Amino acid sequence: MKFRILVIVCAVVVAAACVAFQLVGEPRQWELARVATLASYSAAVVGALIGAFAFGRGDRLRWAWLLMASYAAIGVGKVLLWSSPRHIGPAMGLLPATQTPFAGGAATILLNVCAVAGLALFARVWNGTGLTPPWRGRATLVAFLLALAVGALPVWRDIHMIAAGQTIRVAGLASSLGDIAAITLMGPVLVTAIAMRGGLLVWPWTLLTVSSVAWLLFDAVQLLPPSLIPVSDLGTVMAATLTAGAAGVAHRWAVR
Amino acid sequence: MNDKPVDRVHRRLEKFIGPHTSRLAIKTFSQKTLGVLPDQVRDREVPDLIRALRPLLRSMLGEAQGERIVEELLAEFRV
Repeated sequence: MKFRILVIVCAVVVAAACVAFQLVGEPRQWELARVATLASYSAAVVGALIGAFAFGRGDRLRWAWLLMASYAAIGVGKVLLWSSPRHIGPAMGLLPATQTPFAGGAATILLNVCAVAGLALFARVWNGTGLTPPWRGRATLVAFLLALAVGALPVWRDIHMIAAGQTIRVAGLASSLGDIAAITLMGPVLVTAIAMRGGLLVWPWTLLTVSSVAWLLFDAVQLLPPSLIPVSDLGTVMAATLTAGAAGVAHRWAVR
Repeated sequence: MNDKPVDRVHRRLEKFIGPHTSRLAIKTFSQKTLGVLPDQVRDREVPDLIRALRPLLRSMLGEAQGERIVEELLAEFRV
């Protein structure tokens, strides 16, 4: 029951924030988006740390959760310093955006490295156990093809821009490569969630999968009509971070 | 009613890793470790099966919790 409540709380918070964002109008909606994003990244830090400390020092999953907590903590820093991610409103952070492109780019690269490394450790949970779900390889391949479909064009575009002298796009390239890696790793994470169905461990693995799907949708938001992009950005970022935090809490509940 | 020994192991594992993976693990390790089908595992062979499940449980549940379940199961089947 408590797992279901966790899921419902995540859904209600995301929905309420999106509705409030649409209702309050400019300019207050930008401040609301900033606070909501900051709160959801913070919840992800706390949830991931709760997940991490459900495991011992020698456990792979402790390090996976610590890396997830790191990516969320970098997210908190990004929102504080440079305002909400991407399209959500004007720059409202503590640092003027025009003075900090390098630091912002470095933070984006680090965030992606932590997120991908964390997911890689989750994806390797079967390694060394002597057991592998039968469709793990195929699911990873399908996820990789999906990742290429989503990420190949932005990578190609970033490489061209960097070659043309726009070195600041290195952060964008890192982000796009990170997306490809993260979507590919979604395959084995999803397979683990399916394999755990009927057991307590289905909850953290499913929430982790939902978080990865939300990040995938965050990338796809750019395909929407411009008027829908800000609220969709807010909704996907909040869904991705809140479910990541909820997955950490659910992991602790499942193993303790 | 008398359960087969592997059914008792299955019931303990399915709570955490679900019935499908529990059955797959028991089948895989019965064959790999003991060279028999799950139905053919005898009481005195169950501890070896449980020990073969140890890496899976430690990876999925963490070392402490995984080890606790292994020890509880081993105690249950200790002669």
